[in-house]
Amino acid sequence: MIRLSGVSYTYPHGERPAIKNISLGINGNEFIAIMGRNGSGKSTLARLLNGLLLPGQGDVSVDGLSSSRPENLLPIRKKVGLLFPDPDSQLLANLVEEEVAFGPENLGLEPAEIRNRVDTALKMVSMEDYIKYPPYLLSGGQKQRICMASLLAMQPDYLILDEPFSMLDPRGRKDLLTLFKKMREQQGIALVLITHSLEEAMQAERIIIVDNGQIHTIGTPADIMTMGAQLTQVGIEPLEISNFIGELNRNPGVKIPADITDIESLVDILCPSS
Amino acid sequence: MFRNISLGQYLPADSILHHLDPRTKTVAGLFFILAVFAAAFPLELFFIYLAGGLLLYLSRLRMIDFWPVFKPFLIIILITVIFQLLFIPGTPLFSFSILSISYEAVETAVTFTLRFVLLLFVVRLLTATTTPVALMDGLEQMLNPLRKLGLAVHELIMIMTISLRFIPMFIEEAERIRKAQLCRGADFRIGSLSSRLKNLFAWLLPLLRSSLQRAEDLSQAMEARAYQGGEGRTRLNILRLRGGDYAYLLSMAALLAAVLLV
Ligand SMILES: Nc1ncnc2c1ncn2[C@@H]1O[C@H](COP(=O)(O)OP(=O)(O)O)[C@@H](O)[C@H]1O
Ligand SMILES: [Mg+2]
Repeated sequence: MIRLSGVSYTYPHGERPAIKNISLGINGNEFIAIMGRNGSGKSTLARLLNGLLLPGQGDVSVDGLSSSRPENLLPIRKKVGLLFPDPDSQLLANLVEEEVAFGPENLGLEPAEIRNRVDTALKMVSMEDYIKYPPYLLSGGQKQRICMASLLAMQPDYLILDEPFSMLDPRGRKDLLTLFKKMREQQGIALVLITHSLEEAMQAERIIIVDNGQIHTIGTPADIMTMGAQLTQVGIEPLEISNFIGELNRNPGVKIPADITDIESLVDILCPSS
Repeated sequence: MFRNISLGQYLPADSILHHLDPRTKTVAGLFFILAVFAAAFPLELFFIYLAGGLLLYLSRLRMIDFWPVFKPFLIIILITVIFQLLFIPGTPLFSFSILSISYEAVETAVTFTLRFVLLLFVVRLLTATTTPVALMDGLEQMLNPLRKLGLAVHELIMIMTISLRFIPMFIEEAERIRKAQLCRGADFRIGSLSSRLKNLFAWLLPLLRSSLQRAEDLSQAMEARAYQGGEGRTRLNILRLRGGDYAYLLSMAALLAAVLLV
């Protein structure tokens, strides 16, 4: 479990705290989505979770290991993988296999074990054919898969995904999201997905809305759906189907529940006989 | 404008030279370069060229692969040769009016050209058959004893490896920013000195900023993947010398010895 208690963080030279007094628990094998407008503090929060940033106040602990103790940082980074938005800013090797091996090498594993993990991780993301390929020649989606494999090779218990889709086309987004969910099911890895898309966030068990460095709302997708117009106030674009239901409900006599998220259920309500 | 000078990219192939240990190739390359400079004109140089031809055959590269590396140096070679022809005194070979070219000048110019070409050939042979990472790994292994003297070998090599990886990106970025500024009519190659300087800074500052941002992003990504410097770090590929490596090293050493002794 990742536990934040009363965490605040201000960047050096920052005028205001980027994170203000956040307390939160993330369970192992949970799927959490974090939403919020640009600059609300999502990436800062992500970096606090794996000890890349250390809280100014409060405490972050991963499975009981507090990030305030320097000797805990290595085990924390091994447990908590962080995927950044732009794959080009995290790829550092000239060959895919060297890229994926970088993390396990830092953990001081035996060469045979590193080879084993590289092969397994590349298979998990279906990129095993590119093992001797230079990463910078791959497409955006393939690059993000390689970055993902690099994290999987460290066998993390938690994956923090900071807007991992921002460089991808809709097809790439869908494939990658499917991959994340598969990792969770097969490897039992907890997912923390930072995203601007409510549709993607709906797939999580809990959605956390961050605003102005603070937690605005924590709730299930159904809870979040009932927020309606409040969503736009915290910089979240409502689902298209919600807009549609809103329009329908303006007609006298029509009363469709606001937490409908899929077309099938809407059809069932509109045409009960079918 | 930035792409002209390069030592060339790695050219993947399944050749004997490609499979040798990078340390072998680096040291053998040094032997070969020493032999090139020690070789006398014409007979010894001729034999070195034969050896070079054999290496070319073993590398499975084509002559054309070497051209991009030679091209930018042609002008340097040409200017040097002209100077040598004009100014080295000796037995006149032929002369028109005040211009006179000596026999010694021709010999010096030919020897210089042959050596220079061979030097570029050896460097290109190394970079074409060895990935930058393998070269750096080899260097790290060879320099490792210096760690006892307090030299941060791993960190130095890591810096070089990452620079190698970022140079193409940096060049791309430089050209992108420059094109964007050209679109706005800002060219640091024309205009008054002050406007040229202004345009130069308008180009360098965003370049510097984006490079620093990249460096910051990368260091975060490395740290996030548990990087803590060379201490306690292992490697996926361990370098190991095989029979072929010893044979190659021995033949290059023999070539150097032959040139030095004969
Ligand atoms: N390196 C930094 N130095 C100073 N301030 C920063 C830095 N990174 C982010 N900030 C500030 O912290 C706040 C939160 O940023 P961030 O966590 O990146 O938000 P988000 O990921 O939600 O867009 C913003 O106001 C931003 O300007
Ligand atoms: Mg962000």
